[in-house]
Amino acid sequence: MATMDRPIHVVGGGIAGLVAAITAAEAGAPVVLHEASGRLGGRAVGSAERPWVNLGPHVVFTDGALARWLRQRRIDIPMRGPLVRGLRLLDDRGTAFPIRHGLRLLPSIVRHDAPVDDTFRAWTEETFGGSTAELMCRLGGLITYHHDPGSLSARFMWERYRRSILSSDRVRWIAGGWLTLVDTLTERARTLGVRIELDDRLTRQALPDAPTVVATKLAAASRLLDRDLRWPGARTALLDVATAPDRGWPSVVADVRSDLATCCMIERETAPDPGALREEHAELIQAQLGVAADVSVAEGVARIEDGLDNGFPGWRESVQWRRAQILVDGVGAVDPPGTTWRDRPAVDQGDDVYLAGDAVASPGLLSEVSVNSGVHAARLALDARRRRAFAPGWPSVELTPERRLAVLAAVLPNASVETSTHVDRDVEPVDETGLGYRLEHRAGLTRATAVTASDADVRVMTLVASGLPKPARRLLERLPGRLRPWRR
Amino acid sequence: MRAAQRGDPLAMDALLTELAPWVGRICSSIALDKGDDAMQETLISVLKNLPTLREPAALRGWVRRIAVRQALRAVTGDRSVPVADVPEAATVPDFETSVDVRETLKKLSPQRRAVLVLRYLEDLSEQEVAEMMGTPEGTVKSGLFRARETFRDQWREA
Ligand SMILES: Cc1cc2nc3c(=O)[nH]c(=O)nc-3n(C[C@H](O)[C@H](O)[C@H](O)COP(=O)(O)OP(=O)(O)OC[C@H]3O[C@@H](n4cnc5c(N)ncnc54)[C@H](O)[C@@H]3O)c2cc1C
Repeated sequence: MATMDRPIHVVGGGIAGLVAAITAAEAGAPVVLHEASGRLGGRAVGSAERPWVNLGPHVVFTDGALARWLRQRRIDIPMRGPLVRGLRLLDDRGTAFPIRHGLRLLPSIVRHDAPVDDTFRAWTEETFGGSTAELMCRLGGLITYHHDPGSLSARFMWERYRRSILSSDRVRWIAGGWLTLVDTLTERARTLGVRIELDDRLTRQALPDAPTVVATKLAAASRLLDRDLRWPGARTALLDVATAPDRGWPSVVADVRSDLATCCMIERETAPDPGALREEHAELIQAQLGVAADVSVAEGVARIEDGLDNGFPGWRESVQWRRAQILVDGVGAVDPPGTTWRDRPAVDQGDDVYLAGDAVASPGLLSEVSVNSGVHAARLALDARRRRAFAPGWPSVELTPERRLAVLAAVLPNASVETSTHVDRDVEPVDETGLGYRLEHRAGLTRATAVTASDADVRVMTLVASGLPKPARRLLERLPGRLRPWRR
Repeated sequence: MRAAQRGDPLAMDALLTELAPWVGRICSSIALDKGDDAMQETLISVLKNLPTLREPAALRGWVRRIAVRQALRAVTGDRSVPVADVPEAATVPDFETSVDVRETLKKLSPQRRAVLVLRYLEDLSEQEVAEMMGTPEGTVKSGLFRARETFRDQWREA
């Protein structure tokens, strides 16, 4: 069984690679993590001299895959809640607390099914009307960092809009920035025995003959695997500034002036996280603006600075440090009309190679896509390793989610199974793979859900079982969704 | 394991994850195309009868026995698969070099496949295989020996 000692390889040590490595190591597999740079974290950490000023990510969503993955492992990362009071909107009339805008967005709190095939702009105009639609499209920039969110798939944008702008209570900042998260994950990986190789840029020739998770950006994965892996992303201008403190400043300014089809987000990171700059006595302001392909760094940054002048008067006077750049495909996949996340490059690339990252076929927002695909890729790599480990070539079958449900239905008391078919293929994801399987058990009630997809449709099977007598079960079934014990 | 015996659904589910790849291989190596049905029946039987298992350490042997039984049942219940033993001269894979184990397994009877699975995949001794299959050890021994010889001859000729 010598093959059982052979490790799973993970290429790329960002959030996706770290999650994949930890997930695989937890299952007892030896893991080697190869990172091209001298430090783990990828886009979640900043430049060498200021790793704590992260390049990209800012917030974690408490109802999302990252928060859930951390909770499941009891990894406690200190987080700070949203600062609604410090929120300002900058529109053509000036900077203000967004009361008027809030009213304009009011119709959008109603639940809707947004179509995959329409643009967000066309659908919001039709559903909510002109001025609401226009504001919604611009605000989409807050979560996509794209220069024209209205041009993307209505379904894609609507999910993001609901989960961020309409659910701002679920937004958290990590105390100490994303470096805290990266350090904690690194520590966890080390404890689990993951071998971490820094300054180790893998090339096509050096790809190991073993189950391998490629957790780099798509462009790098494309080169590494010598195949065309592409998906639309955003082009984003970033400006980071450390400047002398001014207590009067807002915490977040969303610049939605009408010269933009998107929104420029300006965050004072030191507001939710006073320790964001570590020892330095200064304010950290980070701003992002989605820009079209023909916009230069200078132009993009000039537009951002104009927003800063409005929202953070006096910021220019004592700048201690600044960093300006344009990031291409830095914020993950954006889905054009007619596509959903299922159409992106697949996690399973065949030949025991698996993709993870924020632009692959996994559900979620931003880095959640990296987390979900990281878990999915790790599971597939573990399966591949088991397959290789003993007697390659012998026939084998997998326990599909449907079969698993059939087994449980046969053994659990009072079990019943329901099946539904969804032709539009966009079903609420069940587990990290977006398909697959989830089992929950609370207060004597078991609920298992299996989702499978074919080219034509997506099938959802739900099993409910309980050790409770029938009347009690009936009662529980009738409870509104929020109160049901199996809800997380 | 203990929790699964008590009927804890989460523990049962975890046990399924643990057992499935291994059970799947045994079942499909013996039952071939009926492997998934055999696996399903095996897992149901395992979970149902789990409380009767006194010694958790005996789990593997116990599950293996159920898997082999269910796999044989899945194919022998089906007429299209020859139940009678095929001639001894049938090819038997050399598991180091053979590329298509499945094709080769197809040519054998289910019982013979079970013997091969237990000996080569599960690494049981000939005595253990004989015990489990309810055949004399000598039969297992000579069968395996002849099968290997046949295969080697064929290999050389090819
Ligand atoms: C402006 C901005 C704002 C964002 N805001 C948020 C937010 O609020 N919330 C959120 O959740 N997410 C946010 N994101 C997204 C988040 O930053 C990313 O989704 C996440 O960091 C991606 O992680 P990853 O591991 O997939 O990729 P990366 O972090 O890019 O990691 C890839 C790693 O692979 C390495 N690598 C590349 N090639 C090789 C090779 N050949 N061999 C070995 N190693 C290699 C790289 O060095 C890198 O470390 C934001 C991003 C940006 C840019």
